[in-house]
Amino acid sequence: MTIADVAITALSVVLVALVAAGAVPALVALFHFLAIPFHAWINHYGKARPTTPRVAIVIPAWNEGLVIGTTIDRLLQLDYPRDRLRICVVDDASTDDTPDVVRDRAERHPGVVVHMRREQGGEGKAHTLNHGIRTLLQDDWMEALLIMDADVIYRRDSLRKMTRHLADPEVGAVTGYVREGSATKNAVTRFIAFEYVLAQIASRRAQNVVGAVACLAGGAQLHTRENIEALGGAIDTTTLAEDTVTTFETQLGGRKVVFDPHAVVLAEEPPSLDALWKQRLRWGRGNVQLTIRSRRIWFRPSKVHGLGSLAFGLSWFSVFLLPAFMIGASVGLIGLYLLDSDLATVVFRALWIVVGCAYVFSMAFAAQLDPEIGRIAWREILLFPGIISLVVMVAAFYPGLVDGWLLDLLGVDMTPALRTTFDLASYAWISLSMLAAWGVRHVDRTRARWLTVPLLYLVGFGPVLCAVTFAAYVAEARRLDRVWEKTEKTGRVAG
Amino acid sequence: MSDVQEQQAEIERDRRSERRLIWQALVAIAVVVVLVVLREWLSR
Repeated sequence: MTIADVAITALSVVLVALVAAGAVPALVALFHFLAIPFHAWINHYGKARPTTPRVAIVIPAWNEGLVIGTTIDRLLQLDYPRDRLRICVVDDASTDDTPDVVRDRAERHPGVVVHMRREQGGEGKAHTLNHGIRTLLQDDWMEALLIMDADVIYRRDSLRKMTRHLADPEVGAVTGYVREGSATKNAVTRFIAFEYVLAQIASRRAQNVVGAVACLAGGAQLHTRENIEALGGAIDTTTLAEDTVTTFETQLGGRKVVFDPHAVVLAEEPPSLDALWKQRLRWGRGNVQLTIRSRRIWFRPSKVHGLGSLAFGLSWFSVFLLPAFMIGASVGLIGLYLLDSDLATVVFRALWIVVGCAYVFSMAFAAQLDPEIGRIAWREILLFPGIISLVVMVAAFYPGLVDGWLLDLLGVDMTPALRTTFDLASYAWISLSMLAAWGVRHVDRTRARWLTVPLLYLVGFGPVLCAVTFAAYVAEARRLDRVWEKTEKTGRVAG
Repeated sequence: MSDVQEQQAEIERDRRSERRLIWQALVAIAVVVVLVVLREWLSR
């Protein structure tokens, strides 16, 4: 064996490893979803008891005139003792009619609705929340604190279903299922609705099982007073992921975080891809900041919290590093193709069979978790990875189907040149899909935005989320300004 | 039934309803099995 042979073999091994790494997120997702059924036994209901602590609800509001009135009205209808509820709207120097709407409700419900005004605002949600929290901690009325967003609509039983977990003194915070609730849904909101099924009632059940919750939803986080005081009486203001930081700090302090899938609240989500991109870029950058900040936690098991467990670390990094895994898989496959095209074909099929099985299992499972969303968003569930990725997946899973039957149907001969083009395009698409998603986002900012939805179905929503994560890496690496851009809300929530 | 009893019953209902996750997972596994069997059948 010559040195060149050894080098080629070594390079092949490295390239196969890169492709195999590309299957890791799918395998971790599969493991994550296989943990969900265990929520039938490993859940917190055994320690839950009917309990109604005095709850102060803090709602940060900056120019929320369109939504804040309905939100307060719905909170006043909560199935919860009125004398144990205080709704505090922290008006962050709004310039619309927010102060008038809140003052009107405060006058009609004295002692229950409270208007807190900041004359100097614009510092972001965490600063606004802290203004309210500082005020509430000045007396001992508050026993629990509910942090929510101005556009979130609570079902009558939502708060009660959250407070029941506070009967367990080990619990520091509870979160619920934030469900996409726009009255008029479009393709983007339907994709988000299903994404929330995946990320919340699926993933967070699995997180309950492994004993570490990744994030308290910004629209529904209930804390004990002791937890807020242990956090220093304030929410973190140094990152763009204040909700996740709060979640981590709570668990690092040895207090449990519980997710209750039956505590449902409805939220209005961005109706356009461009608005969604801005929101997710902020979340993504926050996650980059938090991942770096938590570097001493990862993969270091602790008796105090579950954040250092192998299961939680794999789950976190398989999402956080997904763009890197995708680029690695493409590079590996194209490199293998240049070295040994037959080996590349075998490895490519193996990768997509693993990814395909994980995808089909998780989609088929998640679609049943919220049957209403499953019914409304069936197209988005099927096309979550995009039509192009689905064709690639089918081609890998059923090799004869696309190569033979489909091409026969189209009257196309599979020439060697076409074979090479199809193979290389399939390999490159794993990472090029992110570039295409970035392009679709830019189409949404032009006059041709009518093309956004068909392109979104073609490219897929999954690649959009990966592309935003990649954009977050870039924004953090370039140290771009950490601007807190508000997601526009219009009061379109139904239910 | 008092409020407290009703809420306790609601907790029990929610706890029991989590058992449906097992059947839902089995349905999802069955879908994957069908696809794999189909693959084997088509590749003959």
